[in-house]
Amino acid sequence: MYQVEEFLNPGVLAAVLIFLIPIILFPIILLLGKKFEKFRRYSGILATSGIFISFLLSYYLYSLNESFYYQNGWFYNFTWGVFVDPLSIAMAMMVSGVSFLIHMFAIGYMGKDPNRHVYFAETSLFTGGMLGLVLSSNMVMFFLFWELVGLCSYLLIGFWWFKPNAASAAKKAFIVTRVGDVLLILGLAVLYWSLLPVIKTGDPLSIYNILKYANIVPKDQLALAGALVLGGAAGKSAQFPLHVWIPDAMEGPTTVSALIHAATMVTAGIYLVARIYPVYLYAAPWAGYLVLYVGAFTAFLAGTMGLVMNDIKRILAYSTISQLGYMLSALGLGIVASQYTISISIYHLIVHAFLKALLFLTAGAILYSLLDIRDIRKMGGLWKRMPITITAMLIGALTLVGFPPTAGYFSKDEIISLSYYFSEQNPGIYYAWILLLIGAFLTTLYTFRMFFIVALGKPKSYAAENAKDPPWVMLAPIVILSIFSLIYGIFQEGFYKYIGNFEFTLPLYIEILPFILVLFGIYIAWLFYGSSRFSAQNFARKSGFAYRIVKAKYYLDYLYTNIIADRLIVYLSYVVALFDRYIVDGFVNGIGKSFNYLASITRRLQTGIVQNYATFVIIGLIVFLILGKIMGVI
Amino acid sequence: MIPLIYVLTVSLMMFTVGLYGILTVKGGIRLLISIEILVNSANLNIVAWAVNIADSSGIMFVLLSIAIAAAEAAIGFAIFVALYRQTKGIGLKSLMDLRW
Amino acid sequence: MDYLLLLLVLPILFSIFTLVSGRYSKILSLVFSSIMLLTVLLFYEFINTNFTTDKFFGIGFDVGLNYLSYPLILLVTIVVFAAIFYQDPKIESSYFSYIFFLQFSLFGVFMSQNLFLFYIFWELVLIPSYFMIGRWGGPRKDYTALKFLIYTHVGSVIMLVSIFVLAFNYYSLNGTFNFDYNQIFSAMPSGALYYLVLTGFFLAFFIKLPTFPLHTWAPDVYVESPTTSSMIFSGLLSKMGAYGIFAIFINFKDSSVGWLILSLGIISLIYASFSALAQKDLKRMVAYASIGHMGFISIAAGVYLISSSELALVGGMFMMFAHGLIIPILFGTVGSIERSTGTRAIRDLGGLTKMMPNLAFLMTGGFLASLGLPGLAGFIAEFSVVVGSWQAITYVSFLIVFGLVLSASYHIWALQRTIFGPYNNYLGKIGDMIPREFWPVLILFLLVLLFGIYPYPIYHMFQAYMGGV
Repeated sequence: MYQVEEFLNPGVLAAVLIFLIPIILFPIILLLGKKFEKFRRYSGILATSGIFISFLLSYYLYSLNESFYYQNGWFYNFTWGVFVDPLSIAMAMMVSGVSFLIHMFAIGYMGKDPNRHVYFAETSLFTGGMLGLVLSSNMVMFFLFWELVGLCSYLLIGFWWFKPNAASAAKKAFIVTRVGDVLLILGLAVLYWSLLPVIKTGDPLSIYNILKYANIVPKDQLALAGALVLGGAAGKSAQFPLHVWIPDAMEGPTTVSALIHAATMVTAGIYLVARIYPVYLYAAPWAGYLVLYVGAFTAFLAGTMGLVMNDIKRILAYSTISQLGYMLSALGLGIVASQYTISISIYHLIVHAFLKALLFLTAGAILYSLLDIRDIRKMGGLWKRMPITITAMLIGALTLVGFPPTAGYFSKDEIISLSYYFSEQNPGIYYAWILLLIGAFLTTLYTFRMFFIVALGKPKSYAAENAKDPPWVMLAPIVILSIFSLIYGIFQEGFYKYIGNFEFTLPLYIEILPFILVLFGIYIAWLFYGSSRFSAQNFARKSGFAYRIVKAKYYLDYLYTNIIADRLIVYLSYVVALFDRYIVDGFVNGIGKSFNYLASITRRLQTGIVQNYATFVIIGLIVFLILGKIMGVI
Repeated sequence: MIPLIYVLTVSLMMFTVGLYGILTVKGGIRLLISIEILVNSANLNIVAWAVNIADSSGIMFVLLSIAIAAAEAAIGFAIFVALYRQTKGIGLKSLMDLRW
Repeated sequence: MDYLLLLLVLPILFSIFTLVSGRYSKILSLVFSSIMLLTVLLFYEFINTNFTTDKFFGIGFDVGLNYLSYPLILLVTIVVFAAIFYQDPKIESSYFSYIFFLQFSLFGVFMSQNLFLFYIFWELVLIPSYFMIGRWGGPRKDYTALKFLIYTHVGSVIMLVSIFVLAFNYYSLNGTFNFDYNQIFSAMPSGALYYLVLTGFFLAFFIKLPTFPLHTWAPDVYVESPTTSSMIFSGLLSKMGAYGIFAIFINFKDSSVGWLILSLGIISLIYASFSALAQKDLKRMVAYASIGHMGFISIAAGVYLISSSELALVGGMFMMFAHGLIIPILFGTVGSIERSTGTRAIRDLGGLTKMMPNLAFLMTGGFLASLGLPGLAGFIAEFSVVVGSWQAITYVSFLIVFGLVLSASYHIWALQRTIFGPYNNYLGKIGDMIPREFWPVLILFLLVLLFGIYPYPIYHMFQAYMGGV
C-alpha cells in the first residue's frame, strides 16, 4: 500500500475512469434518448458497452497487481480519491462483470419499454455509483456514492412510476435506508472526532488513515462508531431490523432486482464493514458480537419468511436477505475471534452475486414469457417448456443451497464451518453456529419449494402452458452466469490468497453436516412439493399460530408502516400542524387582536366633535398650570 | 386715562365669553363669532399692555393679528360653504364623519 | 475602495430605470440582473476591501466585502437573476423595480460594516418586501403583508435599542462613539442590560431566520406571495437572519446561549418537519421545509458557541448558501404545477410525470437536494453540521438525524403523491414547464449539483472568514 502523488498515473486514471464512464453515460443517454426517439433502442447497447469498458479497466487494475491510493483535497479537511487494494479490485470486477451481464439481459428484457433510455441511463448511473463506492478513498466520498446508489435504487424501484405499489415501495425503500444512512453519518462523526486527535493533520475519514490508526483509538469510541456504521450497513444490506424494504422493492423491473437488490447494491453494507474492518477489530468486543448476531439472526429470520411467500421475486428477496446475513456473520466471526476473515465473507459475496443474478435473471425470463405473472402457484411444469431457463435455475438453486461441486458449497459451508471452528475457542459464538446451520436448512427448503412448484407438475395458468425460452440476448447472460456458478469454486484458494488468507481445519463430520442438512431439506421439499405425498396447506393449517406470524412477516412491516408511520408519525404531524396554527400562530395573532381590542376601546375618546377636543386641551392646560403652581415651577 | 385693570377685565370677560362659545355652540357661524371674540380679547389685551408700557410694536402686532383674523374668518366661511354643499347644513355634528 | 459603492449604486439605478421601462420591463430587468451578476463576479478581486467616510458620532457610511458577505452577495444576485427570469412578463414594471430595490437593501445589509448602517439597511428591506406581498399577493395578501411588516419590525426595533445600549456603553468606557462590528462588542454590558442586548439581537435575527416559535410569518409570506416573490423571500430574506447570526450574534461568547439556540434549532428542524408532513398545500409544505433547514443554522451557531467547532460553523454558513439555491428550485417547480394544473393541493395531483416530464426531473432533483442527498449542495452543509456537532453534543445528535429522517419522509412522500403514482385524469391535458420556468430552475439545479460535488470555491471562503475572525 503506497500513496500515488500525481493524478496522471495510469492506475489512478484507470480507477477514476472505471466509475466515471458509467456516470457520464447517464446524462448522455438521457439527453440523446429525449432528443431522438430513434436513439432509444441503442441506449441499452451504449450503456452495456460503457460498463464493459469499466470491466476491462477493472481487469487492468487487477493485472497491475498493486495496492495504492490517491487522494486530493475536497472540502474542509476531507479528501477525495481512489483506494485500490485486492478487496476493492475484487468488488469492482464483480460489480462491473455482473452489471455487464445484467445490462445485456436487459437489452432484451426492457426492449419494448417506451422509456428504456431512462432505464439504461439510471442503471448506468447506478453501476458508476457502485464502482465509485468500492473505489472511494474517503468515507465522505464513500457516503456520496452510497447515497447515489440508494437514489438509483429509489428511482429504479419506482421506474414504473404509474403503478401505485411501485411508488409506495420506492418511498419505503428510501426512507428505511435513510434511517440507516443517518446512523452511518453519526458513525462517521464519531470516527472523525476519535481519529482527529490521533492523526494530527490530514483527513480523519480517509480510509487509509482509518485502517492505519484504528489500533490507537480508544476502544469504546471505536465500538460506538462501529455500531452506528453497522446501522448504516444494516439499512443498505437489509439486515434485521431494517430488512423490510427489499421484498417491497421487487415492484421494480426484474433486472433492477437482479442488479441492485440482489447482486450489487445490497452488498455495499457488507463491503462497508469489510472496508473498515480494523475499526471493529480493535473495538470493544460487544461491537463484534453485534455484527455477528445481527448477521446470524437475519440469516435465520429471513429463511423462515422465505418459506411462506408465493411471489417468486419475494422468495428470492428473502433469500438475498438471508445470504447477506451469512456474509455479515462471517465478518462478525472474524471480529469476535480477532482474525481476518474478510476473504471468506467477500468470497461468499461474489458467489452470491453470480448465483442470485442468475436466479433473478431466470425469474425475469419466466416473467418475460409468462407476461409478468409472479405468483408461483400459477406456474408449474415449466421445465418442459423452458428447458434452458429452468436448468439454469436448478444450477442457481443448487449453488444457493451449497450443493457440492457448485461454488456455493465452497463459500457458504465455509462460513458455517468457520463459526463452528471459532465456537470451540469462544463459546459465545456457539449460538451463531446453530442459527447459521438452521438457516442453511431453511435455505434448502424454500429454494427447492420454489423450484419444485415452478418446474414440475402441471401448468396452472394459460400463460404457463404457452411459455417458452426467451431470445439469445437474454439467454447468453444466464448461461454465462450458470457456468460461473458451477465452476467458481475452483478459484476459492486463489481468491483467499488474493484477499488475505485464513486457514483452518475441522473434523469431517462437522464439515459435512451442512451438506447432510441440504440433502435432508431437498428430500422434505420433494415430499411436500415435488410429489404430492404431503400437503403443504394441511401442514400450514395445523401449525396455525406460528404460520400466521411468519406469513405476516413477524408483524414488523405492520409495526413500521401501520403503527409507526401511519399512526404515530402522521397523527403526531397533524397535532403539530394544529398546534402551529392555533397555538403558535394563534399567539401571534392574539397579540395583534388584543392591541386591536385595546384600540377599539381607547379610540372612543376621539368623538370627532371639535369642541370636545378643545375642552380636553383647556382642561389639560389648566391641570398643567395648577401642577406647575403646586410644584413651584411657574 | 382708563386704568389698565379695567381694560384687562373687559378682555378677560370677552375671552371667557369666547371660550364658552367655542366649547358649546352647535352652529358654524356662532363658532366663527366666538373665535373672533377670542382673538379680539387677545388683541385688546395686547393693545392695553402696549399703551401701558408705551411700546408701539405691540400695536403693530395687533394690526397683523386683525388681518390674520379676517383671513381666518374668510377661510372659515369658505369651509362652511363647502360643508353646506355637501350636507345641506353647517352644524358641527356633520363634521364627525372621519372619527373612527 | 470607492468601487465598492458601485455595488450599491447599480441596483438603485436599475430600480429607477425599470420603473419607467413600461412594456419591456422584464427583458430590461433580465439584462440588468445579468450585468449585476457579471459585476459581482468581477468584485471577487475586492474581497477584504473597505470604504469609509468621515465619522459622525462614530457613524460613517462604512461598507466592505469580506469572505462571509461575498458569497451571500453572489447568492442574492443569482437568485434575483433566476427569479426575474422566471417571472411572467405580464406584470407592472414597478414589480421589477421593487426587486432591484430589495437587492440594493440586501447588498447594504451584507456589506455594511457598522451596526447603525446595518440597522438602516435591515429596515430598508421591509419596504420593497411589504409592497411585493401587499400588491401582488394571493387572497390573504393584506393580512400577510401587515403581519410580515409588524412581526419583523418588532424584532428589529428592539435590536435598535440593543445597538444603542451597546453604543452608549462603549461611549462610557472609551469616551467615543463606535458602531464598528469588531469593536462595539468589546463593550458588552453586564447584568440585566446584557440580557436586554441579547434579547434584542436574538429577536431580530431569529425572527428573520425564522426559528420556532418565531416562524409563523414565514409560511404565510411564502405561500401568499407569487412564485417569483416566494423564490426571493425564501431564498434571501432568511439569509439576513443567518448572516446576522454568523456575523454578529456569535459575538455573544456564551455557551448557555449556545445551548438555547441549539435546542431551538433542533426543535425547529423536527417541528417544521412534522408540520410539513401534515400540510395539504404543496407550497405550504415547501415553506415548512425551508424553516426546517434554517434549523441547521441555529444548530451550527449553537454548537460553535458551545465548543468552537469550526466544522459545524462553516457547515452552517454553507447551509445558507446551499439553501438559498435549493429552496427557489422547490418554489419554482411548485409554481409551475400551480400554473399548469391550477391547484396546489397535494391530493388533487398525482402522476404528473406523465404530462410534465421536465418538471418531474427538476422537482425530484430539487426535493432530493432539499432532503440532503450527497452530490447536491445541501449534503455538504448538513454533513458538516452533523459531524461537526458530535463532539460538543454527542447523543443529542440523534435528534438532529431524527429530523433528517423526517425531512426525507415528507419530501419523498410528497413526491410519491404528486409526480409518481397514477395520473389524476381530472387534471385533463396539461402542458409541461414553459421555457421561462424551465431554464432558471435548471440553472439553479446545476449550480446545486456543482457545489455539491465541488463545494471548495464557496466553502473555502467561509473557512477563510473563520480564519480571519
